[in-house]
Amino acid sequence: MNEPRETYGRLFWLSLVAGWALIGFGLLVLVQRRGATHPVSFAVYVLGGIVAHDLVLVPVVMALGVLAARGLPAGVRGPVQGGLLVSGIVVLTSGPMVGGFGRLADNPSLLPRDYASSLLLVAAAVWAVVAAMVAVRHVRRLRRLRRVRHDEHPGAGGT
Amino acid sequence: MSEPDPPRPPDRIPGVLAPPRVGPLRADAFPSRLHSERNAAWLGVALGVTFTVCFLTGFLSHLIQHPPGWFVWPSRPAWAYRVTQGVHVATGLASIPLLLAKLWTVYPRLWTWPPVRGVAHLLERVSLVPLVGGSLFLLFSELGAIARWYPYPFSFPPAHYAAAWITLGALVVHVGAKLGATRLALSSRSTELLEEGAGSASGGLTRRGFLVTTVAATGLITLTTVGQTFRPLARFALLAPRDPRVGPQGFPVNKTANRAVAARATDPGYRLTVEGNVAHPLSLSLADLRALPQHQAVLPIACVDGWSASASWRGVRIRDLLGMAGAPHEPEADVISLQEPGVAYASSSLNRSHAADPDTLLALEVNGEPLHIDHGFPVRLIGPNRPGVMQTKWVTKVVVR
Repeated sequence: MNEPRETYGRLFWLSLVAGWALIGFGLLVLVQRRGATHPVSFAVYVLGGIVAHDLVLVPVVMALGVLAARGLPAGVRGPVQGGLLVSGIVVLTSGPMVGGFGRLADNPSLLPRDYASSLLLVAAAVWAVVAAMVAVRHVRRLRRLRRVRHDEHPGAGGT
Repeated sequence: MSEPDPPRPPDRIPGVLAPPRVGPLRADAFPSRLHSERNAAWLGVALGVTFTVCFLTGFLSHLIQHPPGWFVWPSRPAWAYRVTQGVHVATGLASIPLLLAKLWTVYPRLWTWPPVRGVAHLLERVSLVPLVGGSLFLLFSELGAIARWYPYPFSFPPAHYAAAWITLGALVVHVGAKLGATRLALSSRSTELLEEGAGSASGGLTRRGFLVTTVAATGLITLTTVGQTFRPLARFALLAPRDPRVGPQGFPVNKTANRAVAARATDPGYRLTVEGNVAHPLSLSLADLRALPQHQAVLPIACVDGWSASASWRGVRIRDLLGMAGAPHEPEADVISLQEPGVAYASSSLNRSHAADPDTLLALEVNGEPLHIDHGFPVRLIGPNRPGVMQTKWVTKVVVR
Protein backbone atom coordinates (compact mmCIF):
# COMPACT_ATOMS: atom_id res chain seq x y z
CA MET A 1 0.00 0.00 0.00
CA ASN A 2 1.53 3.27 -1.07
CA GLU A 3 1.44 6.06 1.41
CA PRO A 4 -0.49 8.90 -0.22
CA ARG A 5 0.49 12.46 0.47
CA GLU A 6 -2.38 13.67 2.58
CA THR A 7 -3.86 17.02 1.81
CA TYR A 8 -5.58 18.37 4.87
CA GLY A 9 -8.15 20.87 3.69
CA ARG A 10 -10.86 22.85 5.40
CA LEU A 11 -13.07 19.75 5.62
CA PHE A 12 -10.47 17.99 7.77
CA TRP A 13 -10.18 20.84 10.26
CA LEU A 14 -13.98 21.23 10.49
CA SER A 15 -14.48 17.52 11.04
CA LEU A 16 -11.64 17.49 13.57
CA VAL A 17 -13.41 20.11 15.68
CA ALA A 18 -16.87 18.56 15.29
CA GLY A 19 -15.56 15.04 15.89
CA TRP A 20 -13.65 15.93 19.03
CA ALA A 21 -16.73 17.76 20.34
CA LEU A 22 -18.64 14.47 20.02
CA ILE A 23 -15.75 12.54 21.58
CA GLY A 24 -15.78 15.09 24.39
CA PHE A 25 -19.48 14.48 24.96
CA GLY A 26 -18.83 10.73 25.13
CA LEU A 27 -16.04 11.27 27.65
CA LEU A 28 -18.33 13.56 29.65
CA VAL A 29 -20.99 10.82 29.83
CA LEU A 30 -18.28 8.40 30.87
CA VAL A 31 -17.11 10.65 33.73
CA GLN A 32 -20.56 11.83 34.82
CA ARG A 33 -21.74 8.22 35.15
CA ARG A 34 -18.43 6.97 36.53
CA GLY A 35 -20.17 4.91 39.21
CA ALA A 36 -21.54 2.70 36.42
CA THR A 37 -18.95 3.17 33.68
CA HIS A 38 -15.71 2.76 35.71
CA PRO A 39 -13.72 5.04 33.33
CA VAL A 40 -10.30 3.57 34.18
CA SER A 41 -11.31 0.00 33.51
CA PHE A 42 -13.28 1.17 30.43
CA ALA A 43 -10.09 2.76 29.09
CA VAL A 44 -8.13 -0.43 29.80
CA TYR A 45 -10.64 -2.43 27.75
CA VAL A 46 -10.71 0.06 24.85
CA LEU A 47 -6.91 0.36 24.65
CA GLY A 48 -6.49 -3.36 25.38
CA GLY A 49 -8.70 -4.08 22.38
CA ILE A 50 -6.33 -2.14 20.14
CA VAL A 51 -3.29 -3.95 21.53
CA ALA A 52 -4.95 -7.38 21.25
CA HIS A 53 -6.00 -6.67 17.67
CA ASP A 54 -2.83 -4.97 16.39
CA LEU A 55 -0.18 -7.01 18.17
CA VAL A 56 -1.85 -10.44 18.48
CA LEU A 57 -4.74 -11.04 16.08
CA VAL A 58 -3.31 -9.47 12.93
CA PRO A 59 0.21 -10.99 13.22
CA VAL A 60 -1.33 -14.43 13.81
CA VAL A 61 -3.68 -14.05 10.80
CA MET A 62 -0.80 -12.85 8.61
CA ALA A 63 1.40 -15.77 9.63
CA LEU A 64 -1.39 -18.23 8.84
CA GLY A 65 -2.03 -16.49 5.50
CA VAL A 66 1.65 -16.78 4.55
CA LEU A 67 1.71 -20.48 5.55
CA ALA A 68 -1.43 -21.15 3.50
CA ALA A 69 0.07 -19.33 0.52
CA ARG A 70 3.38 -21.24 0.70
CA GLY A 71 2.18 -24.74 1.41
CA LEU A 72 -0.59 -25.07 -1.15
CA PRO A 73 -0.71 -25.51 -4.94
CA ALA A 74 -1.78 -22.43 -6.88
CA GLY A 75 -5.30 -23.53 -7.80
CA VAL A 76 -6.18 -24.29 -4.19
CA ARG A 77 -4.56 -21.31 -2.52
CA GLY A 78 -7.20 -18.60 -3.04
CA PRO A 79 -10.24 -20.63 -1.97
CA VAL A 80 -8.39 -22.03 1.07
CA GLN A 81 -7.30 -18.55 2.18
CA GLY A 82 -10.91 -17.41 1.79
CA GLY A 83 -12.14 -20.45 3.72
CA LEU A 84 -9.66 -19.77 6.52
CA LEU A 85 -10.77 -16.14 6.76
CA VAL A 86 -14.49 -16.97 6.88
CA SER A 87 -13.93 -19.82 9.36
CA GLY A 88 -11.77 -17.63 11.56
CA ILE A 89 -14.37 -14.87 11.69
CA VAL A 90 -17.16 -17.36 12.42
CA VAL A 91 -15.12 -18.96 15.22
CA LEU A 92 -14.43 -15.53 16.69
CA THR A 93 -18.04 -14.31 16.54
CA SER A 94 -19.49 -17.56 17.86
CA GLY A 95 -17.06 -17.55 20.82
CA PRO A 96 -19.50 -16.20 23.43
CA MET A 97 -22.12 -18.73 22.29
CA VAL A 98 -19.81 -21.76 22.06
CA GLY A 99 -18.11 -20.82 25.34
CA GLY A 100 -21.49 -20.31 27.00
CA PHE A 101 -19.88 -17.94 29.54
CA GLY A 102 -23.19 -16.15 30.18
CA ARG A 103 -25.23 -19.30 30.59
CA LEU A 104 -27.72 -19.25 33.48
CA ALA A 105 -28.85 -22.45 35.17
CA ASP A 106 -32.43 -21.21 35.62
CA ASN A 107 -32.87 -19.88 32.06
CA PRO A 108 -32.58 -22.59 29.40
CA SER A 109 -34.07 -20.26 26.75
CA LEU A 110 -30.79 -18.31 26.82
CA LEU A 111 -28.19 -20.03 24.59
CA PRO A 112 -30.61 -22.89 23.85
CA ARG A 113 -28.44 -24.77 21.34
CA ASP A 114 -25.39 -26.98 21.31
CA TYR A 115 -23.22 -24.29 19.75
CA ALA A 116 -20.13 -26.46 19.27
CA SER A 117 -22.15 -28.72 16.95
CA SER A 118 -23.67 -25.66 15.26
CA LEU A 119 -20.20 -24.25 14.66
CA LEU A 120 -18.99 -27.54 13.17
CA LEU A 121 -22.01 -27.60 10.87
CA VAL A 122 -21.39 -24.03 9.69
CA ALA A 123 -17.68 -24.73 9.22
CA ALA A 124 -18.55 -27.86 7.22
CA ALA A 125 -20.75 -25.75 4.95
CA VAL A 126 -17.92 -23.22 4.47
CA TRP A 127 -15.40 -25.92 3.55
CA ALA A 128 -17.89 -27.61 1.24
CA VAL A 129 -18.05 -24.33 -0.69
CA VAL A 130 -14.23 -24.15 -0.69
CA ALA A 131 -14.04 -27.72 -2.04
CA ALA A 132 -16.60 -26.92 -4.73
CA MET A 133 -14.62 -23.85 -5.80
CA VAL A 134 -11.39 -25.87 -6.01
CA ALA A 135 -13.17 -28.56 -8.03
CA VAL A 136 -14.65 -26.02 -10.47
CA ARG A 137 -11.25 -24.40 -10.98
CA HIS A 138 -9.66 -27.79 -11.54
CA VAL A 139 -12.23 -28.82 -14.15
CA ARG A 140 -11.87 -25.48 -15.93
CA ARG A 141 -8.07 -25.84 -16.00
CA LEU A 142 -8.33 -29.38 -17.42
CA ARG A 143 -10.71 -28.18 -20.15
CA ARG A 144 -8.38 -25.35 -21.03
CA LEU A 145 -5.42 -27.74 -21.24
CA ARG A 146 -7.37 -30.15 -23.43
CA ARG A 147 -8.40 -27.32 -25.74
CA VAL A 148 -4.79 -26.16 -26.04
CA ARG A 149 -3.66 -29.72 -26.85
CA HIS A 150 -6.47 -30.05 -29.38
CA ASP A 151 -5.47 -26.78 -31.03
CA GLU A 152 -1.85 -27.94 -31.26
CA HIS A 153 -2.69 -31.32 -32.81
CA PRO A 154 -5.90 -30.90 -34.79
CA GLY A 155 -7.29 -34.19 -36.02
CA ALA A 156 -5.47 -36.23 -33.35
CA GLY A 157 -8.60 -36.28 -31.20
CA GLY A 158 -9.92 -39.44 -32.88
CA THR A 159 -13.01 -38.01 -34.58
CA MET B 1 3.68 -6.27 -12.03
CA SER B 2 6.55 -5.44 -14.41
CA GLU B 3 5.90 -1.72 -14.09
CA PRO B 4 8.58 0.16 -12.17
CA ASP B 5 7.61 1.00 -8.60
CA PRO B 6 6.40 4.55 -8.09
CA PRO B 7 8.93 6.71 -6.30
CA ARG B 8 8.72 6.19 -2.55
CA PRO B 9 8.24 9.13 -0.24
CA PRO B 10 11.45 10.09 1.54
CA ASP B 11 12.21 7.96 4.59
CA ARG B 12 13.83 10.79 6.37
CA ILE B 13 12.59 14.02 7.82
CA PRO B 14 15.25 16.45 6.64
CA GLY B 15 17.79 17.07 9.35
CA VAL B 16 16.81 14.00 11.37
CA LEU B 17 19.05 10.96 11.40
CA ALA B 18 17.47 7.98 9.65
CA PRO B 19 16.53 5.42 12.31
CA PRO B 20 16.95 1.70 11.73
CA ARG B 21 13.93 0.32 9.85
CA VAL B 22 13.44 -3.22 11.06
CA GLY B 23 10.51 -5.66 11.33
CA PRO B 24 7.20 -4.08 10.36
CA LEU B 25 8.95 -0.74 9.81
CA ARG B 26 10.81 -2.08 6.74
CA ALA B 27 9.59 -0.48 3.52
CA ASP B 28 8.71 -3.89 2.06
CA ALA B 29 7.33 -5.45 5.27
CA PHE B 30 3.82 -5.93 3.88
CA PRO B 31 4.10 -7.09 0.27
CA SER B 32 0.55 -8.49 -0.04
CA ARG B 33 -1.49 -6.80 -2.72
CA LEU B 34 -4.50 -7.25 -0.42
CA HIS B 35 -3.42 -4.18 1.57
CA SER B 36 -5.23 -2.27 -1.12
CA GLU B 37 -6.39 1.33 -1.09
CA ARG B 38 -9.41 0.43 -3.17
CA ASN B 39 -10.48 -2.28 -0.73
CA ALA B 40 -9.85 0.04 2.20
CA ALA B 41 -12.13 2.58 0.53
CA TRP B 42 -14.91 0.09 -0.22
CA LEU B 43 -14.78 -1.33 3.30
CA GLY B 44 -14.69 2.19 4.71
CA VAL B 45 -17.85 3.14 2.81
CA ALA B 46 -19.59 -0.05 3.99
CA LEU B 47 -18.59 0.60 7.62
CA GLY B 48 -19.68 4.22 7.30
CA VAL B 49 -23.14 2.97 6.40
CA THR B 50 -23.36 0.20 9.04
CA PHE B 51 -21.99 2.40 11.83
CA THR B 52 -24.46 5.16 10.94
CA VAL B 53 -27.33 2.66 11.06
CA CYS B 54 -26.08 1.30 14.40
CA PHE B 55 -25.68 4.77 15.84
CA LEU B 56 -29.15 5.96 14.79
CA THR B 57 -30.99 2.81 15.92
CA GLY B 58 -28.96 2.71 19.14
CA PHE B 59 -29.62 6.36 19.93
CA LEU B 60 -33.33 5.79 19.24
CA SER B 61 -33.35 2.90 21.72
CA HIS B 62 -31.62 5.16 24.24
CA LEU B 63 -34.25 7.90 23.74
CA ILE B 64 -37.09 5.41 24.16
CA GLN B 65 -35.68 4.12 27.43
CA HIS B 66 -34.56 7.51 28.77
CA PRO B 67 -36.97 9.94 27.10
CA PRO B 68 -36.15 13.65 27.39
CA GLY B 69 -39.17 15.95 27.76
CA TRP B 70 -39.51 16.63 24.03
CA PHE B 71 -39.54 12.97 23.04
CA VAL B 72 -42.75 10.92 23.02
CA TRP B 73 -42.23 7.49 21.45
CA PRO B 74 -45.53 6.50 19.79
CA SER B 75 -47.20 3.15 20.43
CA ARG B 76 -47.66 2.61 16.69
CA PRO B 77 -46.65 0.92 14.48
CA ALA B 78 -46.49 -2.02 16.89
CA TRP B 79 -43.49 -3.57 15.10
CA ALA B 80 -41.26 -0.48 14.85
CA TYR B 81 -38.97 -1.16 17.83
CA ARG B 82 -38.73 -4.81 16.92
CA VAL B 83 -37.37 -3.76 13.53
CA THR B 84 -35.07 -0.94 14.67
CA GLN B 85 -33.48 -2.96 17.46
CA GLY B 86 -33.28 -6.12 15.34
CA VAL B 87 -31.51 -4.03 12.70
CA HIS B 88 -29.23 -2.50 15.37
CA VAL B 89 -27.92 -5.85 16.58
CA ALA B 90 -27.86 -7.53 13.16
CA THR B 91 -25.95 -4.57 11.67
CA GLY B 92 -23.49 -4.62 14.56
CA LEU B 93 -22.84 -8.33 14.00
CA ALA B 94 -22.52 -7.79 10.24
CA SER B 95 -19.97 -5.04 10.93
CA ILE B 96 -17.53 -7.42 12.65
CA PRO B 97 -16.12 -8.98 9.44
CA LEU B 98 -16.17 -5.58 7.73
CA LEU B 99 -14.19 -3.99 10.56
CA LEU B 100 -11.66 -6.81 10.80
CA ALA B 101 -11.18 -6.80 7.01
CA LYS B 102 -10.77 -3.03 7.00
CA LEU B 103 -8.24 -3.01 9.84
CA TRP B 104 -6.28 -5.82 8.19
CA THR B 105 -6.25 -3.95 4.89
CA VAL B 106 -4.85 -0.75 6.38
CA TYR B 107 -2.60 -2.49 8.92
CA PRO B 108 0.67 -1.43 7.17
CA ARG B 109 -0.30 2.19 7.89
CA LEU B 110 0.12 1.47 11.59
CA TRP B 111 3.86 1.13 10.92
CA THR B 112 4.08 4.07 8.54
CA TRP B 113 7.42 5.89 8.53
CA PRO B 114 7.99 8.57 9.62
CA PRO B 115 5.22 8.01 12.20
CA VAL B 116 4.21 11.66 12.16
CA ARG B 117 4.47 14.05 9.25
CA GLY B 118 3.16 17.23 10.79
CA VAL B 119 0.50 18.59 13.10
CA ALA B 120 -2.50 17.56 10.95
CA HIS B 121 -1.14 14.05 10.48
CA LEU B 122 -0.50 13.77 14.22
CA LEU B 123 -4.07 14.86 15.04
CA GLU B 124 -5.46 12.47 12.46
CA ARG B 125 -3.48 9.56 13.90
CA VAL B 126 -4.36 10.41 17.50
CA SER B 127 -8.04 10.40 16.46
CA LEU B 128 -7.58 6.81 15.26
CA VAL B 129 -7.18 5.64 18.86
CA PRO B 130 -10.83 6.33 19.79
CA LEU B 131 -11.91 5.14 16.33
CA VAL B 132 -10.20 1.74 16.37
CA GLY B 133 -10.52 1.17 20.13
CA GLY B 134 -14.11 2.38 20.22
CA SER B 135 -15.17 0.30 17.19
CA LEU B 136 -13.61 -2.90 18.51
CA PHE B 137 -15.07 -2.23 21.96
CA LEU B 138 -18.60 -1.53 20.67
CA LEU B 139 -18.79 -4.57 18.39
CA PHE B 140 -17.15 -7.13 20.65
CA SER B 141 -18.78 -6.02 23.92
CA GLU B 142 -22.14 -6.16 22.10
CA LEU B 143 -21.29 -9.63 20.82
CA GLY B 144 -20.72 -10.74 24.42
CA ALA B 145 -23.74 -8.88 25.77
CA ILE B 146 -26.26 -10.59 23.47
CA ALA B 147 -25.02 -13.85 25.03
CA ARG B 148 -25.28 -12.15 28.44
CA TRP B 149 -21.51 -12.30 28.94
CA TYR B 150 -20.20 -9.20 30.72
CA PRO B 151 -16.55 -9.91 31.61
CA TYR B 152 -15.83 -6.41 32.93
CA PRO B 153 -16.62 -4.35 36.05
CA PHE B 154 -18.58 -1.56 34.32
CA SER B 155 -22.25 -1.64 33.41
CA PHE B 156 -22.82 -2.47 29.74
CA PRO B 157 -25.53 0.07 28.72
CA PRO B 158 -23.86 3.32 29.86
CA ALA B 159 -20.42 2.13 28.71
CA HIS B 160 -21.88 1.21 25.31
CA TYR B 161 -23.61 4.60 25.15
CA ALA B 162 -20.45 6.58 25.97
CA ALA B 163 -18.36 4.45 23.58
CA ALA B 164 -20.89 5.11 20.81
CA TRP B 165 -20.46 8.91 21.06
CA ILE B 166 -16.68 8.58 21.27
CA THR B 167 -16.58 6.32 18.22
CA LEU B 168 -18.99 8.52 16.26
CA GLY B 169 -16.82 11.56 16.92
CA ALA B 170 -13.69 9.71 15.84
CA LEU B 171 -15.53 8.52 12.73
CA VAL B 172 -16.42 12.11 11.83
CA VAL B 173 -12.72 13.08 12.04
CA HIS B 174 -11.75 10.05 9.97
CA VAL B 175 -14.30 10.77 7.23
CA GLY B 176 -13.11 14.36 7.09
CA ALA B 177 -9.52 13.19 6.69
CA LYS B 178 -10.19 10.42 4.18
CA LEU B 179 -13.08 11.60 1.99
CA GLY B 180 -10.80 12.80 -0.80
CA ALA B 181 -8.58 9.72 -0.74
CA THR B 182 -11.66 7.46 -0.70
CA ARG B 183 -13.18 9.20 -3.73
CA LEU B 184 -9.93 8.89 -5.64
CA ALA B 185 -9.43 5.22 -4.72
CA LEU B 186 -12.96 4.36 -5.86
CA SER B 187 -12.78 6.34 -9.10
CA SER B 188 -11.75 4.86 -12.42
CA ARG B 189 -8.58 6.98 -12.13
CA SER B 190 -7.36 4.82 -9.25
CA THR B 191 -3.74 3.94 -9.98
CA GLU B 192 -4.30 0.59 -8.30
CA LEU B 193 -6.93 -0.31 -10.87
CA LEU B 194 -4.57 0.56 -13.70
CA GLU B 195 -1.72 -1.45 -12.20
CA GLU B 196 -3.87 -4.49 -11.62
CA GLY B 197 -3.00 -7.32 -13.99
CA ALA B 198 -5.55 -9.59 -15.64
CA GLY B 199 -4.72 -12.66 -13.58
CA SER B 200 -3.12 -13.39 -10.27
CA ALA B 201 0.49 -14.45 -10.35
CA SER B 202 0.59 -16.32 -7.04
CA GLY B 203 -2.82 -17.98 -7.31
CA GLY B 204 -3.66 -16.68 -3.84
CA LEU B 205 -6.62 -14.54 -2.90
CA THR B 206 -7.07 -11.64 -5.31
CA ARG B 207 -8.04 -8.14 -4.26
CA ARG B 208 -11.62 -8.76 -5.39
CA GLY B 209 -11.51 -12.23 -3.84
CA PHE B 210 -10.69 -10.68 -0.48
CA LEU B 211 -13.72 -8.37 -0.74
CA VAL B 212 -15.95 -11.25 -1.83
CA THR B 213 -14.68 -13.29 1.13
CA THR B 214 -15.49 -10.44 3.51
CA VAL B 215 -18.99 -10.10 2.09
CA ALA B 216 -19.43 -13.88 2.36
CA ALA B 217 -18.42 -13.81 6.05
CA THR B 218 -20.85 -10.94 6.66
CA GLY B 219 -23.64 -12.84 4.91
CA LEU B 220 -22.90 -16.04 6.80
CA ILE B 221 -22.93 -14.32 10.19
CA THR B 222 -26.21 -12.61 9.30
CA LEU B 223 -27.79 -15.83 8.02
CA THR B 224 -26.83 -17.77 11.15
CA THR B 225 -28.04 -15.12 13.63
CA VAL B 226 -30.81 -12.96 12.15
CA GLY B 227 -33.38 -15.74 12.67
CA GLN B 228 -33.42 -14.75 16.34
CA THR B 229 -35.67 -11.87 15.32
CA PHE B 230 -36.72 -12.75 11.73
CA ARG B 231 -38.80 -15.84 12.29
CA PRO B 232 -38.76 -17.28 8.73
CA LEU B 233 -35.00 -17.76 9.20
CA ALA B 234 -35.27 -19.13 12.76
CA ARG B 235 -34.10 -22.59 11.77
CA PHE B 236 -30.90 -21.15 10.29
CA ALA B 237 -30.13 -19.23 13.49
CA LEU B 238 -27.50 -21.79 14.44
CA LEU B 239 -25.19 -19.29 16.11
CA ALA B 240 -27.80 -16.90 17.57
CA PRO B 241 -28.00 -16.64 21.36
CA ARG B 242 -31.78 -17.07 21.20
CA ASP B 243 -34.32 -19.04 19.25
CA PRO B 244 -37.66 -17.18 19.07
CA ARG B 245 -39.44 -20.57 19.26
CA VAL B 246 -37.67 -21.81 22.41
CA GLY B 247 -38.72 -21.00 25.98
CA PRO B 248 -41.61 -21.48 28.34
CA GLN B 249 -44.92 -21.18 26.43
CA GLY B 250 -42.99 -21.10 23.15
CA PHE B 251 -40.79 -18.01 23.35
CA PRO B 252 -37.62 -16.91 25.20
CA VAL B 253 -37.22 -15.36 28.63
CA ASN B 254 -34.69 -12.63 29.36
CA LYS B 255 -35.02 -12.41 33.14
CA THR B 256 -36.33 -15.28 35.23
CA ALA B 257 -38.22 -14.95 38.51
CA ASN B 258 -35.92 -15.27 41.51
CA ARG B 259 -37.18 -17.05 44.63
CA ALA B 260 -38.39 -13.88 46.38
CA VAL B 261 -40.30 -12.65 43.33
CA ALA B 262 -41.83 -16.10 42.76
CA ALA B 263 -43.00 -16.22 46.39
CA ARG B 264 -44.66 -12.81 46.18
CA ALA B 265 -46.16 -13.56 42.76
CA THR B 266 -47.84 -16.78 43.91
CA ASP B 267 -48.99 -15.38 47.29
CA PRO B 268 -52.82 -15.68 47.49
CA GLY B 269 -52.83 -12.20 49.02
CA TYR B 270 -51.53 -10.70 45.74
CA ARG B 271 -53.11 -7.35 44.88
CA LEU B 272 -52.78 -5.02 41.93
CA THR B 273 -53.20 -1.42 43.00
CA VAL B 274 -53.89 1.62 40.84
CA GLU B 275 -52.95 4.78 42.72
CA GLY B 276 -51.35 8.20 42.40
CA ASN B 277 -53.23 10.90 40.54
CA VAL B 278 -56.61 9.09 40.49
CA ALA B 279 -60.10 9.79 41.89
CA HIS B 280 -60.73 6.23 43.13
CA PRO B 281 -57.64 4.17 43.95
CA LEU B 282 -58.11 0.47 43.12
CA SER B 283 -56.94 -2.67 44.84
CA LEU B 284 -57.73 -5.77 42.80
CA SER B 285 -57.16 -9.46 43.46
CA LEU B 286 -56.29 -11.86 40.67
CA ALA B 287 -59.97 -13.00 40.63
CA ASP B 288 -61.07 -9.35 40.32
CA LEU B 289 -58.74 -8.86 37.35
CA ARG B 290 -60.03 -12.01 35.66
CA ALA B 291 -63.61 -10.76 36.11
CA LEU B 292 -62.86 -7.51 34.21
CA PRO B 293 -63.42 -7.29 30.41
CA GLN B 294 -60.55 -9.10 28.71
CA HIS B 295 -58.90 -8.00 25.49
CA GLN B 296 -56.67 -10.01 23.16
CA ALA B 297 -53.68 -8.74 21.13
CA VAL B 298 -50.84 -10.31 19.18
CA LEU B 299 -47.72 -8.36 20.11
CA PRO B 300 -43.97 -8.98 19.98
CA ILE B 301 -41.54 -9.07 22.85
CA ALA B 302 -38.63 -7.16 21.30
CA CYS B 303 -35.50 -7.45 23.42
CA VAL B 304 -32.72 -4.84 23.43
CA ASP B 305 -30.41 -7.82 22.76
CA GLY B 306 -31.89 -8.05 19.26
CA TRP B 307 -34.18 -11.08 19.48
CA SER B 308 -37.94 -10.86 19.22
CA ALA B 309 -40.93 -13.16 19.33
CA SER B 310 -44.63 -12.59 18.83
CA ALA B 311 -47.25 -14.06 21.12
CA SER B 312 -50.98 -13.81 21.63
CA TRP B 313 -51.67 -11.94 24.88
CA ARG B 314 -54.96 -11.63 26.80
CA GLY B 315 -55.70 -9.34 29.70
CA VAL B 316 -57.10 -6.05 30.93
CA ARG B 317 -56.59 -2.84 28.96
CA ILE B 318 -54.51 -0.29 30.84
CA ARG B 319 -56.77 2.50 29.62
CA ASP B 320 -59.84 0.66 31.03
CA LEU B 321 -58.16 0.36 34.43
CA LEU B 322 -57.09 4.00 34.40
CA GLY B 323 -60.65 4.97 33.42
CA MET B 324 -62.10 2.89 36.30
CA ALA B 325 -59.74 4.60 38.73
CA GLY B 326 -60.77 8.03 37.44
CA ALA B 327 -57.39 9.08 36.03
CA PRO B 328 -57.13 12.51 34.39
CA HIS B 329 -57.35 13.07 30.62
CA GLU B 330 -54.27 11.78 28.69
CA PRO B 331 -52.67 10.15 31.73
CA GLU B 332 -49.14 8.86 32.07
CA ALA B 333 -48.22 6.13 34.53
CA ASP B 334 -45.41 4.12 36.10
CA VAL B 335 -45.84 0.37 36.15
CA ILE B 336 -44.09 -1.23 39.10
CA SER B 337 -43.02 -4.82 39.60
CA LEU B 338 -42.87 -7.13 42.61
CA GLN B 339 -39.06 -7.07 42.22
CA GLU B 340 -37.00 -5.31 44.87
CA PRO B 341 -37.16 -1.56 44.21
CA GLY B 342 -33.95 -0.28 42.65
CA VAL B 343 -33.34 -3.50 40.72
CA ALA B 344 -32.72 -2.70 37.05
CA TYR B 345 -35.94 -2.62 35.02
CA ALA B 346 -38.17 -3.19 38.07
CA SER B 347 -40.51 -0.54 36.73
CA SER B 348 -41.29 1.22 33.47
CA SER B 349 -43.15 4.30 32.32
CA LEU B 350 -46.16 4.53 30.05
CA ASN B 351 -46.23 7.78 28.12
CA ARG B 352 -49.60 9.18 27.03
CA SER B 353 -49.45 7.35 23.69
CA HIS B 354 -48.78 3.94 25.25
CA ALA B 355 -51.24 4.48 28.13
CA ALA B 356 -54.06 5.26 25.66
CA ASP B 357 -53.34 2.44 23.20
CA PRO B 358 -56.15 -0.15 23.12
CA ASP B 359 -53.54 -2.95 22.88
CA THR B 360 -51.54 -1.91 25.94
CA LEU B 361 -52.53 -4.63 28.39
CA LEU B 362 -51.92 -5.95 31.83
CA ALA B 363 -51.78 -9.48 30.48
CA LEU B 364 -52.95 -12.48 32.48
CA GLU B 365 -52.59 -15.06 29.72
CA VAL B 366 -50.30 -15.79 26.81
CA ASN B 367 -50.96 -18.22 23.97
CA GLY B 368 -54.12 -19.43 25.77
CA GLU B 369 -52.52 -20.21 29.17
CA PRO B 370 -51.96 -18.28 32.39
CA LEU B 371 -48.53 -16.62 32.23
CA HIS B 372 -45.54 -18.77 33.15
CA ILE B 373 -43.83 -17.38 36.24
CA ASP B 374 -40.81 -16.42 34.09
CA HIS B 375 -43.09 -14.54 31.70
CA GLY B 376 -44.43 -12.48 34.61
CA PHE B 377 -47.22 -14.37 36.41
CA PRO B 378 -49.68 -13.25 37.63
CA VAL B 379 -49.73 -10.04 35.55
CA ARG B 380 -47.32 -8.42 33.13
CA LEU B 381 -47.35 -5.25 31.09
CA ILE B 382 -47.38 -5.83 27.34
CA GLY B 383 -47.82 -3.02 24.85
CA PRO B 384 -47.12 -2.35 21.19
CA ASN B 385 -43.80 -0.86 20.09
CA ARG B 386 -41.89 -1.09 23.38
CA PRO B 387 -38.46 -2.50 24.27
CA GLY B 388 -38.72 -5.80 26.14
CA VAL B 389 -37.12 -4.29 29.24
CA MET B 390 -40.09 -1.90 29.41
CA GLN B 391 -42.66 -4.72 29.30
CA THR B 392 -42.58 -4.95 33.10
CA LYS B 393 -43.26 -8.40 34.57
CA TRP B 394 -44.86 -9.37 37.92
CA VAL B 395 -46.80 -6.09 38.03
CA THR B 396 -48.22 -5.07 41.40
CA LYS B 397 -48.72 -1.34 41.15
CA VAL B 398 -49.72 1.28 38.59
CA VAL B 399 -48.97 4.83 39.71
CA VAL B 400 -50.76 7.49 37.66
CA ARG B 401 -48.94 10.80 37.15
